[in-house]
Amino acid sequence: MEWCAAGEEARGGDIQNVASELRRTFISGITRSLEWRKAQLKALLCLLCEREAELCHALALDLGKSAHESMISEIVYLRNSCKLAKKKVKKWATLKKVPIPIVAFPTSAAVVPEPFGVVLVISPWNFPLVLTLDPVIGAISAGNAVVLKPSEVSQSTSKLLAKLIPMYLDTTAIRVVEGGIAESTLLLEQKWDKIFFTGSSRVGRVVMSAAAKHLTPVVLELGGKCPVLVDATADLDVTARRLAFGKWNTGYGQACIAPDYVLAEASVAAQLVAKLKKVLENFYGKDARSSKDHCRVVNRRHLERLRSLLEEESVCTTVVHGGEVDESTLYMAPTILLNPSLDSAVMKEEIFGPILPIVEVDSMDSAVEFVKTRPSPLVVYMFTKCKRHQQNAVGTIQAGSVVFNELALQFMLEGLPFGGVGESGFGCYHGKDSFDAFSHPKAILTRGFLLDVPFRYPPFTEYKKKVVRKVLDYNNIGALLALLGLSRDHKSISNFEADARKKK
Amino acid sequence: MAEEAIQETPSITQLAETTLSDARNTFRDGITRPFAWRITQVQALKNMIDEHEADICASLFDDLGKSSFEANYSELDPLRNTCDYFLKNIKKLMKPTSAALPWYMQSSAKATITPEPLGVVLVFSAWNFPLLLALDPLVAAVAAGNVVVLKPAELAKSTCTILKQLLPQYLDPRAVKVFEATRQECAMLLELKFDKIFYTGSPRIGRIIMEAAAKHLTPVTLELGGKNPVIVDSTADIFVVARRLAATKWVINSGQTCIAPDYVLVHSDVMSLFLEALKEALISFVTPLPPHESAYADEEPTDPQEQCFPHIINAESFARLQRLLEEVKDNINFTLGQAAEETLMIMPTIVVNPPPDCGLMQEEIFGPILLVLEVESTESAIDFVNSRPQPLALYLFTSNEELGKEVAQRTSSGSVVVNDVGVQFNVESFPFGGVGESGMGSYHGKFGFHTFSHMKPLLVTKTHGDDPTRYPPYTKKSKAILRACLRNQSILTVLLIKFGFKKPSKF
Repeated sequence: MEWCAAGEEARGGDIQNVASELRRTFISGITRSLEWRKAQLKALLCLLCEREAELCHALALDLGKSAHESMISEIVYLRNSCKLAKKKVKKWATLKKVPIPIVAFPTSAAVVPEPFGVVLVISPWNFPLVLTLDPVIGAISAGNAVVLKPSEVSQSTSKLLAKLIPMYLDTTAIRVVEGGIAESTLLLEQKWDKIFFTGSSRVGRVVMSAAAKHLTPVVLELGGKCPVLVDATADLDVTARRLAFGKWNTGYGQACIAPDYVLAEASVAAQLVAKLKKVLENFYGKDARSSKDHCRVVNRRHLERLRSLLEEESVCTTVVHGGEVDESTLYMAPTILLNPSLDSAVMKEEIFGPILPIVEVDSMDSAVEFVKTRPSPLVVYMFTKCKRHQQNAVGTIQAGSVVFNELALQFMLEGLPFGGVGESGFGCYHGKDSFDAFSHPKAILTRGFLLDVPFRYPPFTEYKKKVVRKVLDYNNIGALLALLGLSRDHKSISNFEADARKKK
Repeated sequence: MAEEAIQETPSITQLAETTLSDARNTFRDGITRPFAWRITQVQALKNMIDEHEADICASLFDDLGKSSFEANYSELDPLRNTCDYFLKNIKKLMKPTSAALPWYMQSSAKATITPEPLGVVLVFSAWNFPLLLALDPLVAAVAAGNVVVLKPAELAKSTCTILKQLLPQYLDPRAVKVFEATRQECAMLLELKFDKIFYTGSPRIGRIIMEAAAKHLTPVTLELGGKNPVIVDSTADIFVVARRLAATKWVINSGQTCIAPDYVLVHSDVMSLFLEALKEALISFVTPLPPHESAYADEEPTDPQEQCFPHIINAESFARLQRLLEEVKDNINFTLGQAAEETLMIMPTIVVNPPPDCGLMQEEIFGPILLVLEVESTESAIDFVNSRPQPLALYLFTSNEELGKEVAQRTSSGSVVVNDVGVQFNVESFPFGGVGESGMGSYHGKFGFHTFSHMKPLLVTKTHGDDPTRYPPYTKKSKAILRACLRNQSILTVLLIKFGFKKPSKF
């Protein structure tokens, strides 16, 4: 998209105004009140219920998602997230007393979660609703003002959010800014109190670099190549079903937690391929093109990208299933590769599409070593019954999370922190972690004026030093013994102080 | 740092790369993960502090003129406490916690969250508490199972030397490495990829570090500074205020502390009393106690290094502070003595109501100068504080409990302390860190452990009983069941749908 200089300036001005306006709202204190937070969460829940049909329609236009998939993978989860936040926000936001050493008496200490202020949420196109609104739920429940920047690639969802959010939520504190790279760049020039970014590692670097200029803390939910390790002890029927479900039934491979490639023990690789083919036929029929139970590739650019992955010399001969492309419907068949070259692009870049390479390995140990040499993924999946293999994988592979014998479901589980490590990002959210992602713990310590023990002040005699060291060493008995017999009355105060106190 | 020409010495670059690659290999070998290794390292560090207390104190005296008493209570004792905390708690902190699962997964799956080390951690120390700010993060990183590369503060030369000398003797040199580097050389160090960077220092360098970390997507904890305000209202016990303020501001490191009070906003009703009380407190600190104070003055100080106030770190800082004072010489209300360039001593100084555009009002003072500003009301004090970047600490003196709560609610800072100054540092159960310009992330106690860990969820599912309902092709009924489950409907509801007693269209 091309912008003339004046247009860009105007846009920049708008964005600056949005940022300033939200800052004024935050300073007014309104977003900190529990009533406001609950009201916003309730309104968001209404939006998610009342506008279900429009939301599903937008997802169908953007990604070809069926209403069922939209509900299962985005809307139902969001409703649950709203309800949980509404129910728990009071508890989460309450100040928590913390223990302090008895020698510090009389002191009370507490930690209170404080909103950061005005936060920016940048989201991607693949799950455009849940990856925009779930962080927003966290931001609101923590008491922040929020700017949402949905992806321009999922245009219909972006437009719909821009239309619905102002209808349901408090526009003085929650705003949508639509646009592409130009708008994102302008947004990143502003000072935010926190940035929550979901997307690619490449753009994650750009976001963090921009944030550094303002010392803005960030959460980066990135991607990576999530490996699936399958050993000879795995139940291959279940493995094939769950693998197919996780790969092609959840965003059609266009998910950060989608299985990217499989490392299968040589003795079971061929069987796995055969079972996957069968499962795919069960799921989608002989020609998956006509099935409504999977969505499509998001746009022409990505379809071309995926096509070129298959066209590479060392890859095109390894296609054992699928490979067909229909540009008119942005369709690529569920595709399985067997032993593509490890140096090929499909084995190096995050696939983010319906291609599943399967690589034969001679043992699980070598599979684990292979994964360890690559950037840390968001998830490592493993299908195995062998405890030793499980322990080896858990103990040595660094990953955002590890899942055994299942696929993709961990996203739905509120009790689990969702986030990456290394190239797959840092920070996490879901459930209470969403609230925590958008608050910083402020320590509050309150003392009294009584017992202003003189031994903490110079001049430091040997005696005073002993007492101070015992106190700092949490040596209660020692300090108590020192305290006994010492009170303000025993220390003579200056005439000046004495007079001043009398006057009071 | 970025503006200066970077003199790359091939040998330093090679050294850094070798250090990092050795560190990575150590981490990959897995030796830092077992509990036994971590415990022995923490114990060894504690032994190091105890066995070499005298040498360490001597180096701190050399670098900052800290008496051995101050060195102990402000650096070694907090470190000992940190070691004790980890010795007692590492096992508990390492334990996985179980996570709740929805009912339809409970019989077939188990979910746990385990803290995992991040890998190779780079710790930048600071010169003002050169031992504490090097080893406090280091011990937390080691307790969390990481390999550490420590960059000690080059301005605290003696402490740098002693760390380089002692750490390899006590800790595992494969996993704890000391890397000395000048400011220029740090830029080269930051080109390399670490798994976490922990930095204590100024916001200016904090930005540079975060920008460098962005290239490798390295998470950072930045413990920065700021202008920490003190609000004194008319209900406070002014004499206690003055003593506590003076003790923390000047006695501890001559104000060269991230949590030192920077400026005081005093209610006009108590302004003159406050200034008098502050002066009195200062004078009392340097006046030997009369002999009849038998409970206290039993002996003369025996420590030849005894002096009340440490000196300024170096000539550059000394010059900066003198320049700031020169600008406001008409507003200097009181000073405890003359500054002395040879000994880098600047005595406690109080500046009252200087012009708003002077240097002292703009930059973090980080020295023995206290700004005192008169305000008409607590409201205007709150507005003043809110119009400035968020500080690391906000202090309030008042007898009004409600005011304490109100100020905490209406301002933003790393921490709030009511009726005292600086003590929040020693509370292990407190997360210690800033917000906004004063930093991101926190540490101390379990927060330190978590700052150097990745909380990794582990989901283990069984493969038997694989219900076909979840797989396509979907019927109306199967879709309804799936959605009912995900909407946390009860098992009864799901059974009713399954056996045809509830309409799928409702879901």
